[in-house]
Amino acid sequence: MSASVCVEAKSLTKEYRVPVREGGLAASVASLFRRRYRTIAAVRDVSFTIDDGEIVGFLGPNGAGKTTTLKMLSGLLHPTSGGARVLGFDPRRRESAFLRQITLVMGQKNQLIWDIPAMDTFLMNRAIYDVPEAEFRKTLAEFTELLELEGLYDKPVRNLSLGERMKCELVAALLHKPRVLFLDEPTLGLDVTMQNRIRRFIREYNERYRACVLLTSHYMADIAALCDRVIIIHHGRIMFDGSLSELVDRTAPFKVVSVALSAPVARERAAAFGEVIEVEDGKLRLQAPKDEAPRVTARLLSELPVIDLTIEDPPIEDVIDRVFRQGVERA
Amino acid sequence: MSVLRKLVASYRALLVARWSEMLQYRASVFIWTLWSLAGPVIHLSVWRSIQEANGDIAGYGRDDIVAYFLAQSIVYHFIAAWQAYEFGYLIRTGTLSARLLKPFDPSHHFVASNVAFKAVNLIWLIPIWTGMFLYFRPEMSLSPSRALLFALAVGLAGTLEFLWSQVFAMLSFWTVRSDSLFDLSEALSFLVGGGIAPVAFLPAALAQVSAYLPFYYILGFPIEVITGVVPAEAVWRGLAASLGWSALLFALYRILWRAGLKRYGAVGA
Repeated sequence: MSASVCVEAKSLTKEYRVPVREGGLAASVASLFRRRYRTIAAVRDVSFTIDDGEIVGFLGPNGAGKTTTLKMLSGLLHPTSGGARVLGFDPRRRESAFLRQITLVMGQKNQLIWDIPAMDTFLMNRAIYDVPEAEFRKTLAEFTELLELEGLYDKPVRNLSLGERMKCELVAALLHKPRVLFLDEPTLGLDVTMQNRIRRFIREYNERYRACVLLTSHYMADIAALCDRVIIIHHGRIMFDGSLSELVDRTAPFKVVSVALSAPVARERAAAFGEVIEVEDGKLRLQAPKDEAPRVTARLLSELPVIDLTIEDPPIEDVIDRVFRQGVERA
Repeated sequence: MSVLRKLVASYRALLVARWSEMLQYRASVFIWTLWSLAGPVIHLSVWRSIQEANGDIAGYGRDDIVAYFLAQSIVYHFIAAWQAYEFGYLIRTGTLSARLLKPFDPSHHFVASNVAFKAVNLIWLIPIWTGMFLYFRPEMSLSPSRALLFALAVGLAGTLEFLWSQVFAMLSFWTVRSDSLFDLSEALSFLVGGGIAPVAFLPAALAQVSAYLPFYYILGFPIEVITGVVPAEAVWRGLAASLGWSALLFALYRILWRAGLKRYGAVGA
């Protein structure tokens, strides 16, 4: 393994055996005597590597196997087959030197002690991770500033808002300055401002400490703002691993052309220029194959009373949705 | 050395956290503590009236009965352990996962909570115990060496009960409701370990059962050390037996912990 590789997943596979039975009393009684099981593969043959300092977005619909993968990489779950190396360690062994250098933040779970101020949890973590006093003060001051947390550490955690709590969770999870961050939906349920602040914080942390980050999120804004590279997982399998722009090129090789017109245009007429997404009053949105976009634009400008025109990539949400529904076309 | 220093520092922080957590709920902790005194006081009154009506029971006169149950109210406090109830909850809510991600054995949290609870409650228990002794005034003598042996016996009894609870806590890896199994064991302990009455009062068959279980060393033994029922030479034998049981339960807990972690790693929370 080269020195710069942080996380390496090798054919990670996780299968669960779940008891199955039909509904109803008879089936329920029968299952007492003869249990039937079905094996469900949550993650199938997943392989990838992440280098130092990389931020990778891990995308997939609910139940795709994202959290299971993160749990295997952090040592909480043992793979059924395959394996992983994180900073050269086998996560399953949960060695102290490994645990000191990683963190896993789950948006819906918390580690802060509910009834007392967050500072008590920070101090507890300081002791557990053996962070020197001076370094602890310095890091805490830095995080407090980045996350704008001034004045919140002396309130019981239960009295904090969801956003404040999530920010405190991040502080608790990062005070020992881990080199590997597994972030599972860190912005779940937060308002836009709060999401932005957390994104900036993750970016800042990544740059300052050259940490590698594997991030799952359902908010495409998170992914677009933070991740140069995305891994898409669906039904437990990796469907795509590459840059966001490559994903857009491969799955949505078209541009969205929007024009504002000084006079309305009929849908039939608009359809002559490309696939109509939306036409209303003086607004028209079209989809055109990438290589035809310049020609379509020229025609629009010459044939319609155009006031304003923009050419964009399709929204990333649409791209991802398309991937989940149709798969990634092999180029 | 640095391992020890780290452990001490971690415990200090954990104790402070758990201590302040308990102080957040002073009233309910106080009521819970008062409730724990109710049992010994009721048993004291019941056995006193029986003794008054029928004469001494198994050699226990009025003062012996009073001393026994007053001592019981103290011992009960120091042996309390409840992680058997908590552990399943930690698994179900995923809190265990958060703790497993730290380079620190999650069981230390239980030890710290346990110690913090016992320390906080002494604030009001010491005056209450003093008041109870002054009210009932049992005639008993206590030499400094007996007091020391009592402290030792209570310490070991607390450890033993903690490990007993810990073993049941580990069963939560396999069954969702290991706490009801623990309740069952506590009921048995109450019956044969010196809870409902001194072991001397038990019919021969129950006393026989008691001899093969650790319950007597958790409750009856430390009480009898302070009340002077256990002769000096038997005290050391009893302490050795407590230690033996503790070692056995500790080994069992560690085996279950390792196996449980494997299972947790296989099926998750």
